[in-house]
Amino acid sequence: MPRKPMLDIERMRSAEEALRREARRLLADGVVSVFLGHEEGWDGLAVPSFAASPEDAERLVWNPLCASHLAKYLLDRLAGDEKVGIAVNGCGSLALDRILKDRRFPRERLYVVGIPCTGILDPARVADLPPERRREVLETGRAEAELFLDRCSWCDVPNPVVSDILVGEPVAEEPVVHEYPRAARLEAMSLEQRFEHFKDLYERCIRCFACRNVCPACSCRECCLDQWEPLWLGRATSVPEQQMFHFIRAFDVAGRCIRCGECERVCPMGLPLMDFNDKLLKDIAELFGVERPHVPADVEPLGRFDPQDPDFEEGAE
Amino acid sequence: MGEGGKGMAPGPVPRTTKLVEASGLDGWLRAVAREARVWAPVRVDGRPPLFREFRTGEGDRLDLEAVRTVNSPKGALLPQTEPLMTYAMTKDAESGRPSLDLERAAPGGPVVVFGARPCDAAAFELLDKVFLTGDFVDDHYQARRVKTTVVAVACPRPDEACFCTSFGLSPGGTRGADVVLYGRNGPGVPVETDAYYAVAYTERGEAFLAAPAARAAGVADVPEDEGRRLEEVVSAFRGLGTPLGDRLGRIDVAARLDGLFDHPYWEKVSARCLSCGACTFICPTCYCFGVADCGALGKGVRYRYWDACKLPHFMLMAGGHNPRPAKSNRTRQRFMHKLNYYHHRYGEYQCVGCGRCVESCPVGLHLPLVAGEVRGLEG
Repeated sequence: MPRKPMLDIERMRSAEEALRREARRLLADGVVSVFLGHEEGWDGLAVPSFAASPEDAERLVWNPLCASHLAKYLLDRLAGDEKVGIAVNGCGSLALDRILKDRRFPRERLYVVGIPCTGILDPARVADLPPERRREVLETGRAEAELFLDRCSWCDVPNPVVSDILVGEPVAEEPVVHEYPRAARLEAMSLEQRFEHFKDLYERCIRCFACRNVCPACSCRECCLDQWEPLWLGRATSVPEQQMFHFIRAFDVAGRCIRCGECERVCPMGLPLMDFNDKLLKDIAELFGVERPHVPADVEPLGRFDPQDPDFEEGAE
Repeated sequence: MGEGGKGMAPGPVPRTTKLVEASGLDGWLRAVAREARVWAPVRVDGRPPLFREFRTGEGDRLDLEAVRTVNSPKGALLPQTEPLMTYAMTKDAESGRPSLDLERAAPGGPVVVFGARPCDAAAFELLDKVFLTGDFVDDHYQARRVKTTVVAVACPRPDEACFCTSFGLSPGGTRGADVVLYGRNGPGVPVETDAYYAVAYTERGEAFLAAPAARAAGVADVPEDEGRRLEEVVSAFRGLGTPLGDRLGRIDVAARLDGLFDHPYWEKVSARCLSCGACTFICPTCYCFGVADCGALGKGVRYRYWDACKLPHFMLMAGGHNPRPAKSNRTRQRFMHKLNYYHHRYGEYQCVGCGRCVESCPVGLHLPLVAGEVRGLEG
């Protein structure tokens, strides 16, 4: 049963105020040296913000266009021992938890301001609206379900799973039965159709790496795709090389994908990249009996070895 | 530099003008595709419009309505992956002495870029400056370029990301184009037009309009009593403003950037950069490339491929040193190249205001933003 997302603009405004207050305090008291949030960018777009002073904190916003997750930017700050403040909503906290569970950033260097969330719009879809309608949507929060980020349609984590303080009351959590329509669509295709579908994707891909770079599960110190020796990925953009690229990426994040869909959202070519992830999430849900495969866990199906595994034979290679 | 916008100088003199029904374009394209590789803005199903080699048999539909395709047509002149040569090591059977056989990759036959927007056509001339002028002429690029015909289509309705006029170009511009198609109804709404005036500005364009493919597709003479309308339409396209260009005004920041190499601005603006290559790969004027070999057992292909200053490994050297290790270094490089270095070398800017970076950068870090912000910097 898909969830029906609904914006609560009043709630966002008060969260924004509390967020600024909290960030200002953290920076003024020297608790953190930088605070990661969002600020208004070009044409009202919300862009990642890196407040370094209490004055900078005044620019922070929390509005329906704050789609970018911020956790990945922590990897830019690995050096040093400064403490970093970060704002996360529910899904943003999954991205953060991914980085934490993959032990890519120390929890003790973080101060996490959690924002209970009622939904976020897809900035590109909002930008396509006529100006009048755009204004109305952003002021009143009355938005059709199609305008929301895809991840809002199945969201079962409106409240952050990691936080040191919450700005705003927690949102009521409703159980969600997870469906994987993208995977189901692939499964309904014949082998030939499926091959054509992905071949088209490979041909359109310009290999800009936006999908990898935005992904909170892609946090290797050095990505094998960047290595020259050995050359896992030839630089030629032929269909087989593109296939390697997307397979490597899909399987490297399998079991750790938080289903945020940021890869697909940032793809300049509009490629249906979540087809890979949705299929793998669905398989993990079904094969391992995991109800919420998108939620990082201490022990994950593909991240452990179990001698009781029915496919495991003593002495087998 | 510059050719259009408000108060512009008169454009180049048309050599031939024809009229073609909008419904005849698809047939024209298919006829042309029999003799040349055709690149065009295409739409397959409902997916975003793409500029790519037109596949006549695969349901590609010509799309002249989209303001811009997600990628630019630069691949027609500078393919994302391009073989430069093949190599093979052989051993002489008697002496056992090894020898190396090298064979230059063939550049291929004629190319027609059909339906590029005037900004994209102008971008070809900016690429030309890099590859065809100065001490070194790139013969692979040149071999392709001399066989390329560019048919541009004037922009009837520039959108909020369009700013070609900030660089002295115009929605009806002719720069870099052999032929320009002007919608007979002029710019504005509706976008759809029943016919196009096809104006050739070069000898190559003239030949293109006189070719059998054009005649077969119904490319005809302009009725005598339409001469005045034609002039009005062309000048309306040339005088058209662009929404973002009107906001920004003329971008002329090369001198301003001279003193900003060490400015803390780069650190600040680049913090949100994802270090991906989206902006550079979709850009019609970015041309940086790498060269690599693909082969085994003594033979293979040496090819070049698009690379990007925004990617962290772009400058990585064999010894492990990276001269541009930080996002601020790479971001500065991209914008200094376009707005300062290129200007110093070629006397104009390396941007045509197509708006793709505005549309595609997921964190809103694009050229008009930077060009606007550096104007106001202290230092």
